[in-house]
Amino acid sequence: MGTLWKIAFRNVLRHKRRTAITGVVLMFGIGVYIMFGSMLAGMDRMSIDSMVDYSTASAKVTSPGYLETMSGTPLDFGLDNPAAIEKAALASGASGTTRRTAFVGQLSNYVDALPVMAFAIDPATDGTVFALERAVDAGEWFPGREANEIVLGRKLAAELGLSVGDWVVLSGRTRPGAENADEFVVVATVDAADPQVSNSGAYVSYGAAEGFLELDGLVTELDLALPRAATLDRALDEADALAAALRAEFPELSTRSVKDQAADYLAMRNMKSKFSYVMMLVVLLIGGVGIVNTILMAVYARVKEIGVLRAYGMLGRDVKSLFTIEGVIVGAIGSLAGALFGLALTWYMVEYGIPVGVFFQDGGLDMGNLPLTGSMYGEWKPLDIVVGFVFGVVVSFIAARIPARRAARLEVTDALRFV
Amino acid sequence: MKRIIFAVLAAVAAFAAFAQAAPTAAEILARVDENEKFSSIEYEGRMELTLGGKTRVKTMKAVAVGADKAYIEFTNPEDRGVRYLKLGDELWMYFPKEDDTVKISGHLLREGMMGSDVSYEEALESDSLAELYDAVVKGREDYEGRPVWVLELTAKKSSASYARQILRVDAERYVTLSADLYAKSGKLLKESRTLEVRLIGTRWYPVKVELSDKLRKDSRTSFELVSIKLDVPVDPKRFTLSELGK
Repeated sequence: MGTLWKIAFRNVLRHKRRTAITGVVLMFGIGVYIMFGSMLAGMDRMSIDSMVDYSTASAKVTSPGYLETMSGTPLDFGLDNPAAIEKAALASGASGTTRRTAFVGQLSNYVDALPVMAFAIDPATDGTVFALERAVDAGEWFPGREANEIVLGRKLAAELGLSVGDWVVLSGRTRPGAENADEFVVVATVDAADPQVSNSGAYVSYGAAEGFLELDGLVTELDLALPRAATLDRALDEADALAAALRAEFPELSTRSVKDQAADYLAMRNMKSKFSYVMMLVVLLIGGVGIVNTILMAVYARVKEIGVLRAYGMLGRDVKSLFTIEGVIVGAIGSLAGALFGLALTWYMVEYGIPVGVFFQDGGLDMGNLPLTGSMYGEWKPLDIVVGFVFGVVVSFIAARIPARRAARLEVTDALRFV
Repeated sequence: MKRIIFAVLAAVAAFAAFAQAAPTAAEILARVDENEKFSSIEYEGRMELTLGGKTRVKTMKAVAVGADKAYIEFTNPEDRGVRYLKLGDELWMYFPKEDDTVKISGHLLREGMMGSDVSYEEALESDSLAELYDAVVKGREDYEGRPVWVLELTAKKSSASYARQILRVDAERYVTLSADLYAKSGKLLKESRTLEVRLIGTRWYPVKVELSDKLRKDSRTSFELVSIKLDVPVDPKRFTLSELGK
């Protein structure tokens, strides 16, 4: 067997071009598979991060009544003692808390009017949970120079032809139910990764909303943040644990983790990941066909050589083993190169990402939950690297067995006469 | 001196006569209610929606009992078969193409009904003005050739849709000829103008009204009652969800 390995190694090194071609096919197949897996995981992380950063937070506490009628953003159900919940959340590991009250409004520049998803927020603490303040692309985050200040999504402001410093009329129903409308100065616009924020987000401070909506201290939701976890699964589990801790302490309230709030998306993600495994299998099969083809060509190119080996007394099973070993060596080299190539691509995706804004920002492309700005980053998936490598070696083994068996069956005279 | 005394007495007498003749705000609103309230109504209507220079026309057949029950079916080609059912403060909409009935709730209530300047919430309001507002007579003036009483209405319930309204009520026919609707902030939100009134039996009734949204340019909805029957018997089955989807 030692001699066969030596011959096989020599043959692999002797046929450098053929070895290189087979190796490159494998390298690309496995490298793309690894990067694809990293990219899909990164897309999921990015979508969930976008929800956490702009709408769901890691966990959200509301009253049960509010939860039932949430789609209408009613001003009927508030939290009685948000300070106590905040204290308990911080004790349970939350890194930040903030209060919000959502309401449906309409924004008018006296020419046109657009419906908006508006929020009364606490400008001082909002940044400890949400990324809105960091997404300001023009103006200043609630400078407090005017009583009525508003921050708008970038696209919403553009649609109404508004810039920082312009005045706009915000209308909405007060808590008791009366129509109200007042002028607000646009102090900042936000270019948020969440398309809903950019397209229809309007934010006013509690100070301004109190009089405008007659809130009488109403807080409809308390949002909680957690320190960033290394992986998406860990982030979801930690959010679940925080929500569970608060549910135990405040059973009369509705506490929902990002996992609960994004249940539909996560269910879709599970379906999507099954589909993506099928896609990745197709990528690997294409790679596998390439490997089989390359090794088959190698066997046919060396039929005369097989005849010579058999004429010198080599047994058919030795010929079969020789070609199998050669195939496995080439497969291992290609798979290793593929794993390294995949590692390099994943590293680039994790470190630098792919800028998505250039593709989607002004194209009006519907990307579902995917953010429209910033970069799309990959995630490390060590299992995919192992799977890619093993798959490459196994496919090479199987691919080499078929022509090797055929080579072993050749008659010496036929092999020597083979053109 | 005699002349001055005579003039003062004449002025006092005229004022007294006016004061005696001038109805109170409550009386004016009651007279308006007498004209505009009905036990039941059946009509064919035409709605013109104008926004940004473009006008769309919608036609409908409707029947209502009091302010609590109403059934509307659209008859224009684009919306043919779309129906609304109002029962108290709840509203359902039937879509014939999908054969589906949907309850209008939440933020949808703030949307304009069929794209008009009348929100679903406004359509659902059934309290009379006297129940929701304190009213005072601000004076009498001429408005588009008609003598009118000018009334200022201030919300006495914080749930009233508008914090303040200025009404101009025809001083002879007791029909509201215009209403300016203000937000709590004092901003003018909407204007309503009665373009045509008709004598139906013994009462004057507004049959063409135009509502304009003052927060949008060129946004107005005119509503015309093409045919109208007041206080006619109505089959109560019309106001059931099972009938809505038939």
